[in-house]
Amino acid sequence: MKCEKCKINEATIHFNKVINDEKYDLFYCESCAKLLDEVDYDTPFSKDKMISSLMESINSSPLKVNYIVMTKCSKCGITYAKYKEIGLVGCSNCYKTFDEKFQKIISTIQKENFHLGKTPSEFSQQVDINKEIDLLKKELRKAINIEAFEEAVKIRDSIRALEDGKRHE
Amino acid sequence: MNDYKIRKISKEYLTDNLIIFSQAKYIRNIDEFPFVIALNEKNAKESFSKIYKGIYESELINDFELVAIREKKKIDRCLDVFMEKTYVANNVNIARGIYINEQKRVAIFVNFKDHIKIMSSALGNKLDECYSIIDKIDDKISEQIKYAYDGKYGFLTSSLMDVGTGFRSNLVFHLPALSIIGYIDKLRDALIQIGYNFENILKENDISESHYYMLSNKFTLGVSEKEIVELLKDLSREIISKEVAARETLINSRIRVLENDIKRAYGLLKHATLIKYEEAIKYISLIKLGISYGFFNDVDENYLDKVVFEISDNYLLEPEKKVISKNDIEYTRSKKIKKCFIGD
Repeated sequence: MKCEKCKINEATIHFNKVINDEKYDLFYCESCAKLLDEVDYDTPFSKDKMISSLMESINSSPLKVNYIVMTKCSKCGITYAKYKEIGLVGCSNCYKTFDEKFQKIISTIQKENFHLGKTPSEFSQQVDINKEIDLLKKELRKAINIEAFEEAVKIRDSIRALEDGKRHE
Repeated sequence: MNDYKIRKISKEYLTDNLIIFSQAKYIRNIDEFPFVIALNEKNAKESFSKIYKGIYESELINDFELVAIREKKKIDRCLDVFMEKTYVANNVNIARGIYINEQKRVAIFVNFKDHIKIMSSALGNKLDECYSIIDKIDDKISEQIKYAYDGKYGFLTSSLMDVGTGFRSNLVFHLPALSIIGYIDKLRDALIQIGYNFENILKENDISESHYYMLSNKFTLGVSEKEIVELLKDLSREIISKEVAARETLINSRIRVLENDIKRAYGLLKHATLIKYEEAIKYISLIKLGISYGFFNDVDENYLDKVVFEISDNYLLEPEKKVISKNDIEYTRSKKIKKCFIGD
């Protein structure tokens, strides 16, 4: 594929830009990409920066992928490009904004991708509710499989009640 | 022939004497503020006040002294005491400080890499104690402050390497025999393969070779705090048994060379007036090895373990003195070390 800008060189960099919630795919060669403001090619070494670049390296063949460089976290304003540059997360909401990307990084650098261990007291109730909902969903599937529809309706209502309760918290 | 009796090294002795330092840390952030890297001056002040209020209302304030970032020398010294090389972001003007309880060796770092880092350190094999201290402090603060927490990822941190428990634990080992025999690299490789960090603690002081190593957990997600502590303790028993075997091999295979090296180290530390940091660490390690073989009984081993952390140039610089010569530091260092010789 040729670079969309110079139309001469081979495209080696893929940008997913998100502008006003619309996603655009752009394919540039390295020299045209370097002219863009949002890409920082200076990457002094640090463990966190190395980790943030990890997934890009893993995905680098044959196309080097730069992910959603223009997506901004609505809470702290940090873009994914900025996260890559500094290697540090901007706020708790970034975990939601860049979830797809973070999931991949976390599963590469951590043992698992779910938390085991201490839960702050104000969250323990919420964690319990989530566990109960998961359990009820399993029961619902079982009830549907054995065509116990009356039972299934009761379970569905219980799930809704728990989910409503969560929403109103 | 030997003119002294070599002591048979017991595992109990080594369990108590090979782990010279323990440390536990919790990394936390407040949900309502951006993390430190994205803080501006205004919300840095607000987050600092919020944490101050949280610490005040949890009554922890009675135990701690707040050290302001501007008192740089004092902070350097404190960081050295707690063996911490803390990342300091470029935006140094933001509200930042350290709460310290020096007697209990506990520190709470505010607005450094993350909003809150609670850290407890102790000499010797005391990981359980360090963990228990920070866990209680963390509980008290969490009653006052809503942490950044997610049902799936647990405690949210500025580095994805800390997310989950946000819990890090460290043990510092003295492993001279494994180092001298040359097995330390194999041990390091094995530990890294199973997901642990194992580093020479003096690497950053340009000392290529010393016998002190820090073992720490790499994973913070998918494993509970208690498991992290227990697994680290299990591994420490393994490492100790390897060092025991290496010490036996060493004494059987090269007793004369070893005796010469150890006794020279003893003579140097006892009689030198000026001593460099690198030399001091090397000789302290050899003396400690000599004690385990029963070469001397006039050396305070506990003091030696403590002094390892108190003889760096940075630690010996006295804040009130503006200019201090290299000789002054080396002289103070040698005087400090000499106190390990009982009866002198």
